[in-house]
Amino acid sequence: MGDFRYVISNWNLEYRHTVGSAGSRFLDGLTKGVVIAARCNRCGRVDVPPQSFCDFCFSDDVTFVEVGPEGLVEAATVVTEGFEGSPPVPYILGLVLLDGATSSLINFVRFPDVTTKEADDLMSQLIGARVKCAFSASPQGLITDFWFELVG
Amino acid sequence: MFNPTAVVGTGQTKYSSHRADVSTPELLFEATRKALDEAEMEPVDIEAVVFGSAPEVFEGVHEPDKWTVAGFGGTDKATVRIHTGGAAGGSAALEAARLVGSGAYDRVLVVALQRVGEAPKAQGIFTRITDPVLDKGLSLNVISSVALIASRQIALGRITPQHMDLVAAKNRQAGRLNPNGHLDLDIDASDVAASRMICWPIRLLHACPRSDGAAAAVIVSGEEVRHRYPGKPVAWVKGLGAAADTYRLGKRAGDGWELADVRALYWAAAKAYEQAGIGDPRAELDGVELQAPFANLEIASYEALGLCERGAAATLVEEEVTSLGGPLPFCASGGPMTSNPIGASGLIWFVEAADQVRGLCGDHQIDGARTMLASAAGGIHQFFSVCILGASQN
Repeated sequence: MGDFRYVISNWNLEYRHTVGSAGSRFLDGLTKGVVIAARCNRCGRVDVPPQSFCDFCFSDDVTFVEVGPEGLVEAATVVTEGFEGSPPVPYILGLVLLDGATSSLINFVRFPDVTTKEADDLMSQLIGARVKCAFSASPQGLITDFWFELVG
Repeated sequence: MFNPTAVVGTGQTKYSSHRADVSTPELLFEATRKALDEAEMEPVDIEAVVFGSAPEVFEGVHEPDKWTVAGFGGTDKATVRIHTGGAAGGSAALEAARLVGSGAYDRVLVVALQRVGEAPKAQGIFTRITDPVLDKGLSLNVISSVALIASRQIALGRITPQHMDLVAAKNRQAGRLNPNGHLDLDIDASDVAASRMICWPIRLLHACPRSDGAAAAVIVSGEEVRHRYPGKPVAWVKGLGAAADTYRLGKRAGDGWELADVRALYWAAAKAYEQAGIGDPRAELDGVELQAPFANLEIASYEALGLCERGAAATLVEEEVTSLGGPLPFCASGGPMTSNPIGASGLIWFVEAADQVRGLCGDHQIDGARTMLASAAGGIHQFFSVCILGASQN
């Protein structure tokens, strides 16, 4: 069996992704410590992050509203094996239904002593718990300007 | 309207972490040549080609169908690429079947390919299939998203990690009997439970390998079957269905749906069952090949495919209903936990199902299989295709 040859290459591309006005209201809101959603005036759904239209009923008659600042953890995971570009492990992601919203969103959950707790314990404590949104003191206009923390 | 449509030839490559001995067009040639041989055809007999592959970021070459056209004999043919993430192979099979069933063509080749081994840091690639605007910084990828689905299944009491261990062991053992299979792991549920945790509750052995590979199938009209293949076992396309769900996991619940329901698979299957005239899938199916790269997703599929009531899927695991020797084997081929060349995988399950109803599966043949369901899933468990294949036309 002979040696096989390889040729190495890589991509290194930069992008300037357009946010749009609805997404910009959401990110602006995060810099001010509020979570903005879009309420559809036709079907009543309240989507976060907001869009200029409702993708459930396809209406563009939406109003921007605040949701949260608290909510319910519907699902969570603790990532213990990192990969290229990931935050340092372990870290927790939660799927949270904020008060007033009809769709849930995913963000980091900051949990004290995450490195010292067993994953099963962490998860049983967190799933179904109430959390609140906590906001960065130095926001950058990204979703990571806020995260979830346990209430109480 | 859907005219009689049948699979008359299939081909698969041997799957591995990296096929260092072949260029990408050569890898595709292997699968295509086998399918054409079985169909007793040469490329000149094919009228159109459907090509499936998932993010070309794995191979690092845009428009891989343009590059690999030699490997599927594509010159002077209508060709189209299908890309629905990991469902690409399955969606490509559906597209090829529709081209024949609609009467547009009589003889169509479908091929699918992926070389996950070309990108050594494949995990990072999965973070590039998420929203770069509003999800930036979350490092969301397939495994963390699937872990959230598993978390919801556990929170609702539908599964435990032990059920995931049993399903993973079942598929690893089945895969050992598949000569094309990538992994050959003689493990049981306790080995799975002892493997390292990646992303709770998903452990290493609950997850799929990264594989190189290609598959191909020749699909023809009922007229072609009558004239060219009298007496030859073929696999008839009885029903097709496809559905997409929302990008965001958080939007897949509501209106009576739970994230854990995998409602888009339910939607896709309902369409396929209606076309195939299947009213009781649990009784009428002989086996299922599906794209569940993580063990919890397979268990959710038992409910989504209408094989049991919501919440009862765990019982099917406990009673070994879906094991190779059971009444309704899932992934007799070993499934994606054995071989997962992502964009090709959906076509592999279609090919395996077609081989099952023609009695060609050797050591992993399901006795008496006459009606099989093949399903593919892609994106973050977002795109689904379902195809019902049968041994008889009526």
